[in-house]
Amino acid sequence: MAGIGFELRRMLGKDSYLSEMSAYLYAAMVSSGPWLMSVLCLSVLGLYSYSGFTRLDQEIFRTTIVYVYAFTLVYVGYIQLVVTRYLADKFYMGEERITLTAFFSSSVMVLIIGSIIGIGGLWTFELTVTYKIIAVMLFLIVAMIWLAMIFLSAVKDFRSIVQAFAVGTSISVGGAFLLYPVMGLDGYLLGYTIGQAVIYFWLLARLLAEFPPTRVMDWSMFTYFIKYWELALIGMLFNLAIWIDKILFWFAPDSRMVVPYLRTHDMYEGPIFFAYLTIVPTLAIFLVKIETKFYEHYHDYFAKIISKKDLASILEEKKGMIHMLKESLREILIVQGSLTLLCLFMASDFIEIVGLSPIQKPLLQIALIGSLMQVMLSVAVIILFYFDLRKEVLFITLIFLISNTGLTLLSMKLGFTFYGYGYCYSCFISLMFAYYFVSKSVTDLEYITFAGQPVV
Amino acid sequence: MHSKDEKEYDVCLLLEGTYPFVAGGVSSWIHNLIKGMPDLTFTAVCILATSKEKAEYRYEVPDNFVDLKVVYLHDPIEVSKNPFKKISANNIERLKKFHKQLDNESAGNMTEMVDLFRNNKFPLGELMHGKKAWDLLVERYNVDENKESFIDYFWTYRFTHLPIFKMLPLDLPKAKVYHTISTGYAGLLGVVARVMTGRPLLLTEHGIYVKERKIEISQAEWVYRKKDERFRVDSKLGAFQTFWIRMFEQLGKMCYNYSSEIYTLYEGNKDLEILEGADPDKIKIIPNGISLDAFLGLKAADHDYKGQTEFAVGFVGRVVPIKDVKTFLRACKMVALKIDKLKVYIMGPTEEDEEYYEECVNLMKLLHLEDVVEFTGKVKVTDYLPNLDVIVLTSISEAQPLVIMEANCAGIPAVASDVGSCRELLEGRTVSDKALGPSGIVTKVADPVGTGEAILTILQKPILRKKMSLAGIERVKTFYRESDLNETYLKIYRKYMNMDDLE
Repeated sequence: MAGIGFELRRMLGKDSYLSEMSAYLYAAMVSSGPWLMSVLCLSVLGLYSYSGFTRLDQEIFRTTIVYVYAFTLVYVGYIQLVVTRYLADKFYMGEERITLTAFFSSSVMVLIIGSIIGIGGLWTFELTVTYKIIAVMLFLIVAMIWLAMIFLSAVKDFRSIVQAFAVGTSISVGGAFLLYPVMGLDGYLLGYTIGQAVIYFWLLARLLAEFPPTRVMDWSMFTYFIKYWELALIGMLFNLAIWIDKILFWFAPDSRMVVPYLRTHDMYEGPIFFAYLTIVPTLAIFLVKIETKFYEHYHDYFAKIISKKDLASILEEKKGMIHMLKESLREILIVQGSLTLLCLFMASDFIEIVGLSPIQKPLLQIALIGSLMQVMLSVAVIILFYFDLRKEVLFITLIFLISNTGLTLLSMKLGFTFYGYGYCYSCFISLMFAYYFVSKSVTDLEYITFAGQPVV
Repeated sequence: MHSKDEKEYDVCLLLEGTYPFVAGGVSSWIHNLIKGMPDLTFTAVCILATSKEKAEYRYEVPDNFVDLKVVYLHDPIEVSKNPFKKISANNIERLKKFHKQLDNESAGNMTEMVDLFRNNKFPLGELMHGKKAWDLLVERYNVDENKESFIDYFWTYRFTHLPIFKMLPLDLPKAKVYHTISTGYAGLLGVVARVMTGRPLLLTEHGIYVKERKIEISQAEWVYRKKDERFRVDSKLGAFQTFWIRMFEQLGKMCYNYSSEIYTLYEGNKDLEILEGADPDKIKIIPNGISLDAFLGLKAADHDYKGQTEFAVGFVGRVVPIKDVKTFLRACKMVALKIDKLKVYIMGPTEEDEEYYEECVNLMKLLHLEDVVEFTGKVKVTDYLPNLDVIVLTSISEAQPLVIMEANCAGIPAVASDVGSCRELLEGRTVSDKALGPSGIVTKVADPVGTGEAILTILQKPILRKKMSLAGIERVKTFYRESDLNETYLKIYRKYMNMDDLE
């Protein structure tokens, strides 16, 4: 999320209630906008159905969308952090012109590898050829949206992101409705895809307007994949770790094959997705906090070191940073905790509203707690990234991935009453490790900063 | 540390930034020493700054100087941490204790430290990146009281310690005697050799290393000082300059402590060494010698001192500020006013400091000395010596200037500022030396009037001039023969080579 900080600080600097609100809104959109929009989209589409729009069609469509989002996130993950890092470095050196070139080169990479994965993954499914072609296109478009987002948030253009998603999502819904009568399920997906394409081209236009055209390939960017291999690995594996329990449940004994080989697990997915929605406010709050207040402390801390201050005043500054971190974490815990608690108590009502089955209530409850853990985990990871502790984050990522895999498989074996516990405990375990590293690295911050310096 | 069949040398020299890669007074001295003892085998460990600068031999090294080993002090190194090699709590305590000893102005127990380093108890990766070493650094910084820039403390700590960490585990050639020609890093190697092998360590200091570093560091721009400190009128040193200097002082003290004997060129140096913590009883003065053949008899024995009406004054040295040519020119003005037929030769390269040379030329014109003074540039001094009546040296700093020894040897009286061993060379050092009488006049530093008067005294008193001439020749013959110098060192080497291992 490189770069959002400046814009947020500017907004908060205006010191009005409205600007503060919009700061939080932007942060929410940037941190979880696409996810939010797609869930919203699916809900709107799900609430209204045509005559003749079968339950099967509905499920094929829904599963397609979920697959596309899940796998694009995992797939683009390897590029996300590396490119963010690359752009941050370039901006720091004042070479903003490079951006478009880097965007083109990474687009080429995403499209080529994405086509192979998309076609390879979707081709075996028993769906019409037209549907598969559209699905592959959707896969590529969504992947490209993630990529464009990275670049746009690097240039701090959040307004465009929000506008693009608002317009694009509306077109997706409208398009799906309009094209279904003409082309059936294929049209439904095509309509949705057109809306997503609008989002992509909107973002692309914004990028093109922002930067002068340059050469297409930027080879220096690719060296970053070698130099920062941990980032590539973390980006991909962390997203995989988030999704692995869902993916595993698609293959659980009690999962269901919609059509070969499009699988879904009705019991598991719903509660998990809805629980996940509860973390949106937290992510927004945290983003604002870390990119404004924490950044300031972090900046001041290093400014003190560089401006040749004595250790006592550096430690004094650190005290402020630790205090701020504790404050923020407490605040998050209060906000997210109360929200989670509220949802826990109101789980029955919630289930009724969104049309889940009452037997899913315990699963929703444990998923709510799991989501709380997961968002705290993300917070810890972002802090660790601030200190550039890539090895530690990689370690946590692996713990998350392995524990989520293992415990999810275990919970599947133990039966329905244990569903969700795997995910929840995995988040808990990873969170404990992450907090250990955060607290250790803040305590040892000078040691990490100095002693890690290469010798001469 | 050494296997039995390893080659053993008679003498291992420990050299820092000198022979055979850098030309200069000390290098020539080493060259002549080795050449003068063809029966002994010499080897050396030579410390140079970086391998980036090409290390080329500047001397045709004698056959008995073999298997030179070169060590680069500031070459970049990759250090990686090995998670299985930590520093034990016990050893870090020892390191702390060692630092405390140094803080209390003692030289510390190097035997233990060298042992620990050589047995890899302090892996470099841990010292540079490890937590325990970090905690020690912070403890030594002293958060509660220290108000100095921490980032500079950190880098100063690293830069001062890294070369030492590199020196301590080095493999040294096996030798019967180790002889270091300076304290500092070469001196540290000497200490390591002494501690590891039990063989005696000898130290010869031409210039006083610690003093030279002090001058260098106090002038160094790259050592960080707080802004207000730099512009302060008094010359108090910044904390980081003090840090560096203290490190060199401590290295010096260690080397003095572990040396069996310390040799230096003249009394003034001895006093400085004592001031830096050397045991006075260990210090012996061995002045440099010169080869007499080139200079003896240059002045005709039947030279008519009394009937002389034309005079020539010589100045031998590079035209640079440290030689204080301007004082010399002003003194010449005084002389020129009294003596009609005067010629002054300034013999030495002028291109080293063009700006200063120009200033000197301007001063010469200002004093209307164009007809009297001649800048000869670099010349063969022996061509001029026979015609000179007095040689002048106005240097601000010298050790044991060859110019004066050569003047003595050639039978030409000298006027020299009171620096280095000039007084010893002109008035004698020991009782028997003093009895020979003066071979010139010593003046104050930067004193044109005193210098002028001294020159006039010599030129206007033919009998004194002749006496001085004879005293100079006798002095060099008796006390400053190069062959005697080699003999002295040969005796020393033999004595220590045959000595049993020390504990």
